[in-house]
Amino acid sequence: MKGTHLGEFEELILLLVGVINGNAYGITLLEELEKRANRKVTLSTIHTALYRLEEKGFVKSEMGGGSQTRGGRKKRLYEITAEGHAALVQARTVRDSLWHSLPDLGFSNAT
Amino acid sequence: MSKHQDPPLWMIWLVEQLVRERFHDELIGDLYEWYHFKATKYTPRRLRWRFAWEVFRTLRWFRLRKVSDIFLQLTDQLMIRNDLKMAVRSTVKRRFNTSVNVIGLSTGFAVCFFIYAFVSHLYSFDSFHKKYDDIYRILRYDQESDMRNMAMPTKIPEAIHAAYEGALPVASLGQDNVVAFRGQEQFFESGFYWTTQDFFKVFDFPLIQGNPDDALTIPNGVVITERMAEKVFGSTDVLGEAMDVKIYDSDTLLTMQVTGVMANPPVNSHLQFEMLGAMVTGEQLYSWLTELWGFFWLRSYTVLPESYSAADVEQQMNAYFQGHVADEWKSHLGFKLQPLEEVFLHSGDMRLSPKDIAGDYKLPKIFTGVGLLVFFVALLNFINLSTAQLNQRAMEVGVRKTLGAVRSRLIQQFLTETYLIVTVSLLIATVIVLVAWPWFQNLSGWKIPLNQLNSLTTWLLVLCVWFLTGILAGGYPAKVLSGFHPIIAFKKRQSRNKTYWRQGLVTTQIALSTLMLSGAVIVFAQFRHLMDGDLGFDDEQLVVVPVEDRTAQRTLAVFRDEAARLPGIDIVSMSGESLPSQFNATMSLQYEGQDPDAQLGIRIVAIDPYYFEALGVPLVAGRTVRGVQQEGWPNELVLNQAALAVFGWEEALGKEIRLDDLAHTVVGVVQDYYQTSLKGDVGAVAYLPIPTGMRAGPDNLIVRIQTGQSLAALQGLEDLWQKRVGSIPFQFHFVDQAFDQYYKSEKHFFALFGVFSGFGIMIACIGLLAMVLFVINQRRKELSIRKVLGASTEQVVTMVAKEFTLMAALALVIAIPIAYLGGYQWLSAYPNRIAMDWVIWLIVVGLSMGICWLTIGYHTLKAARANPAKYLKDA
Repeated sequence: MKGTHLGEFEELILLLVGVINGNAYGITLLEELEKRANRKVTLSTIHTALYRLEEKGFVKSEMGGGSQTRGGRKKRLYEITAEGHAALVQARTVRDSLWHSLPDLGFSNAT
Repeated sequence: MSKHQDPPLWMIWLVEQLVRERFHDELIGDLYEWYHFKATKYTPRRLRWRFAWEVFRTLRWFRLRKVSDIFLQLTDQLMIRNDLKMAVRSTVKRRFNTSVNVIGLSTGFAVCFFIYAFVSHLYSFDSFHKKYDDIYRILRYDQESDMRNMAMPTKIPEAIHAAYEGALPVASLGQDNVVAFRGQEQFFESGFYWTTQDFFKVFDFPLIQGNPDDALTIPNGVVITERMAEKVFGSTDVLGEAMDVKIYDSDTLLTMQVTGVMANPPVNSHLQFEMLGAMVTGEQLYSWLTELWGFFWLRSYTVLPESYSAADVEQQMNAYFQGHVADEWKSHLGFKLQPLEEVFLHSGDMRLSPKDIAGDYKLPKIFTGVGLLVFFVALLNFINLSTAQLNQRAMEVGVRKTLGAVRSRLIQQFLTETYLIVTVSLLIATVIVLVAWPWFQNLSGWKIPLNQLNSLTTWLLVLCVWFLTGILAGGYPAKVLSGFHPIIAFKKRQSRNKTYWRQGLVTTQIALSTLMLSGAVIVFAQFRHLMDGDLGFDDEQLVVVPVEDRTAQRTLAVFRDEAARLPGIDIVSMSGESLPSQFNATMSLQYEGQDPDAQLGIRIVAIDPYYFEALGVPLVAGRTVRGVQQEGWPNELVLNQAALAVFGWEEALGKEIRLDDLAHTVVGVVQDYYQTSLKGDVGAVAYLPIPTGMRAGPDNLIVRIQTGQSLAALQGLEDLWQKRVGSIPFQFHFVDQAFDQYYKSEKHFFALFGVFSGFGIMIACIGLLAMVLFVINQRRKELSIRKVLGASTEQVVTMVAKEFTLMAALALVIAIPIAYLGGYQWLSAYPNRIAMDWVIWLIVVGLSMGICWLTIGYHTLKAARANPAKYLKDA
């Protein structure tokens, strides 16, 4: 399948969608991203990543409820799909195998 | 999340307009939440900026609508197409009112644009120089008299140049009259200036040919303007050509070499010239004069490097010269630096020669005021008429409201109507401006190029005016109209206070036009006063022949005696001052009873025994001078009455005064007369015989010609001139005409003021006319019933006219005091001014009432005479 490659930022977002599970949308993702990964990005960056993930079939979305704090607008809630989960696992496997092959380079911070 | 404060709604609106519908919920909702989430983390200012950034980032290509969609959506959403259609229908239906509005507004716009052009031209003077902000004119400041003066002796700019070791370039210009020769052809040129080589370092007058660095360093070098090159050589490609130039004052013929051809100085340059001669040559010619501290002939300019402050340099120069100048000059040679931006408009306190181009700083202010008045009158027209029609349109509003229109929609609809009229008026005004431009140039006396106004500022201003006019003119009517309750609207009931409001507007309008009318009357009266004023001597049939040639001046007495014998000539006299003149010659003065510490100067005029007789000025005491001084004669002089007043003398005959340390005896006192113009004052003057050929000596012939003999007399004079002088062309002017020239600026001021106020008054009249028609229309039935019941035509006319007359009277009461104050301010600049007495105000009241009655008269009379049956039958 073309374009199923997972970029670094996409992977991060995909993971977070899984972590937050059930209430993942622009703002919660932005909040978690700041808290857990200490990364500051614009909303639009997150949205764009989400659209791309949805295109690849890694997440799916549905409209949730609105509230006054949203100016009466509905949310678009994202949920990780099986393919998405599989993509994360695969990415991790690749990494793990690479980690195992990494020789001790003598850096003190390596664990 | 602290407070639920909402993000800036217009940004959200922008996103709604630009981004495709399907992204709306997610994007806008998230933006809201983002704002609340971040509200605690940033300061409000920062928050807004960050938010704007977030909004900007949401605008990605894939999310954006098509441009055409956005446009369609906007027009549909705002119902602009519908409103426009309605507006066109409504304005066409009310043809009469629409045309009154359009005529009023477009005339108003055109007048305002002309005024804008005029004012911005005045403010644009000299701004084309790149170093505009750093250029200063060096002024001589006389502490004794607290007077600034733009004329400098040669030594001062030289010393400044030397003191700063060239860090301050000093451009000095000294005017001279010359004749340029090309073969047999002679070209008299008074725009010749001896110019120092720093000229091009200070100013940006571009050279078309030649090198600005050395054009003015070569002895006998001359830089000429394009038009001068065309005139003399018939081509501008004349670098290196030789040019014979006769210098009047030094009486020498030079062969000068063209070292540069310069673009003609722009219209908005206060320096206007045709030829610039290298100063080195000028200094050689006048070497004995350039050493004098008291020979003031240069205009000097410098440009300060950024690290210098004008105040410091001023102080340093003053300190420097206190140590370098002879004691007698110390209190006369102070310095001031005048920024270039003030040179044109703020030099009225200094003595100007006719060659100096200067404006009046009051002009832009006065005309901005006139422009605003005209604009308001046009606006009031519009508001008046729209408010008057409120009742007629109430029905329309009622229907619309019943059918569900909300107030904001109605406001928008009425504003669209207003903007349609404003836009059409602006377009018509543009056409008027373009067509009437040459006429405006003549009227204003400045050749203001139209393209000078094609700038971003102008267009932005036009846009602002367009927007503001719409809001100001349409705002109130739209508010009232849209506010009608449908039921009340259907009942057609007009509340009383609406009438008061309308009457108030009409009164304001008449008051504003009365203000303009009074202004025009005062300006005109003062102008007539200057033109027809008594100069104190008989200026008719009097001719001045300037003799700007040293050789000819030496034998002027012989020439005078021969000229006096010519047919048609009464008397010929020699004088050191022309008529009108600027009093270039002054001498230091000491007199009996003078405060011993004061250093005074007095204007002097070189005369001969025939002088007062030629002018027709009577002596009030003693006799006139006895011809040119001869060995052993005591020095004599005649004073004018103003001088006696300055000295505080009752009696002057036989008293002694010292001029430049030389004792003179007063032998006569002459009645005061104006030598400069009625704009100036008479001032203390000493008349004394000075031998011909000296610098202050006689260099003019004053010729009184017999009535009806002008042609013969002038022909005789010219023949004699050819025989005696020959080398320079014969020139003369009639004194009365020359004096009139001095009022040229007043003439233009009056013309502009009169025409602009005239248009303002015209706009007000059209408005008044429409108002009268409206009122008559409304009261038609009432008037008809009154007539049927026996009212006479006069009674009906009085009824209608009374309302307007009362309004006009109230307007006069408001306007006249304001006009008085303004007039008082303006007139205070003229020592010789009209009194603003009851005659002026009678004229104002008469004109104002007259115009008012004329405007309302015809239709009132027509209404009163109409057959009542005509209006009653379809009741």
